[in-house]
Amino acid sequence: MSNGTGERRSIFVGLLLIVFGVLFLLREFVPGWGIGHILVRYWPLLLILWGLAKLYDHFAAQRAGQARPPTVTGGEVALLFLLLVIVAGMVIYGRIRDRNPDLDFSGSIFGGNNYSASQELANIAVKPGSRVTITTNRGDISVHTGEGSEMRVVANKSVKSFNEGDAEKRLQQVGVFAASVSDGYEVHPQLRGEGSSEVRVDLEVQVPKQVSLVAKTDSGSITIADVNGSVAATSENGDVEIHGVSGDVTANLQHGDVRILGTQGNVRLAGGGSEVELADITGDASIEGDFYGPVRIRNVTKTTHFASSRTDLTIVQLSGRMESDSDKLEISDVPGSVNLTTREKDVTLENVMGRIHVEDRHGDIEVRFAQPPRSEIDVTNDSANVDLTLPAKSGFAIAAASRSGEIQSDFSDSSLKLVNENQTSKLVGQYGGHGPQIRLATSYGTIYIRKAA
Amino acid sequence: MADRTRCTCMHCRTRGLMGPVILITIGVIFLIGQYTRFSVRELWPVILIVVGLVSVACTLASKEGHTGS
Repeated sequence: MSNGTGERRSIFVGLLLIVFGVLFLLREFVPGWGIGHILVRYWPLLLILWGLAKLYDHFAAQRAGQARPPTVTGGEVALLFLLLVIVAGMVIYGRIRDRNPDLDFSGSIFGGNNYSASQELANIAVKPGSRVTITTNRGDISVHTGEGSEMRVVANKSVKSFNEGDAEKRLQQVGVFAASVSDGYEVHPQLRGEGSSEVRVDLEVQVPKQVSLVAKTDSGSITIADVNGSVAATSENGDVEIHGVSGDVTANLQHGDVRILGTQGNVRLAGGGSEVELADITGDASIEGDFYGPVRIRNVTKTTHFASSRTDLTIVQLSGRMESDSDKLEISDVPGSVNLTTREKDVTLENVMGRIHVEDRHGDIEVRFAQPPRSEIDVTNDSANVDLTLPAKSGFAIAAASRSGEIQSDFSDSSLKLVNENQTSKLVGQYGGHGPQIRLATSYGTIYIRKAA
Repeated sequence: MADRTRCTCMHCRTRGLMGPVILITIGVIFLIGQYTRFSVRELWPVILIVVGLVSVACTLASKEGHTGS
């Protein structure tokens, strides 16, 4: 603090608050953004900022002809320590919450009791093949199918309040609309009066099998099972789970996990979030957006497409599985082709029988075959290794090059030539009988060509 | 204390903004929390940023004409 002798307060305190404010804000709004990870990786930048701030202090004081503020003040150290303790607290809290997802700390922080009321609506006859749109602002949506042609809606309303009278008043202000509209049927809460927007409305809906569904919530989870038509689910903040749908499935979300299992149509997933699981899809599967993973896909009959800011992947006929998280990507058992462009990921491909095209950098690439390869292999890497394992009886034509790196091959033959020119190791030639073309390229890394044991 | 409030140099004037600006920020955050889909729990870091900004403005402000102790 200023003590009146012309000494200035350091600029560092203000900068530190701004930096941590921005970090905490990003943590709230960017899914999968771990403040702990960022600090572990970039903490030296804090020291640099500290140094620059002190340098600024020094010159500013010199210019004004004042005494320089002390290099390290107790206040600054205390503030930095406090902020780091808050970060540590957040990381620990996050871990605890990950392990016990049912714990709700927010209630104990802001106080108040939870009041709830359940409301069952009269059954509505639904024409087969029509569209049902279910919307709620805050709350979960759960849809299952039943025999017959009627729709049943149960709404569970709840609100947090310090006083029972207030809670009841607010619960009564919320009704539920369910009726036929111009292009199908609609179910949504009706809010009347002040404070009713804080009421959470969970909707449990039973529909006939022969409908298509649109479900949308701003905050809450969506569960849909066994619908014959198409399904579109949107959740701004919550998990989405969809089982056994015969039509196409579209899911949009911003935070949360997604599971889509057993779909006969195409699946389209967009937005962002954390965990993704797709399995047993008879049509195409497409994921667009930043899902921080792990992303797991199993058994997709047609084409799988996965596009994020770092990765672009197309797999034709994924009869095995694909798994991706922040630093690795594994694909196994694909009768068709794989086309992958990514960076900073360790890539493993196992038993891909179609054409392989992989581009990566700063991540090791491993390609393994249990049967001799039949299609072209094209792998490009940078600043990392390429590791190819083939059965001993394979035949192939190879062109491998490692700039500023080396090549180690278990396969040797008079028609295979290993040369080293201009700091680039090259292996060129034929091996075995007739076989596909293999192109491997990297720099500052080793290319291994191994015989399967 | 009384002397400091009377000082009219830029430094002290900026410093005087700290309290009111924090109050305004907190008020605005609670309003936003009430009427939009953003919640107070998401927006609290804005307070840190505002305090930081005022603090930096305070350091950058000239102390020319500073009076008092």
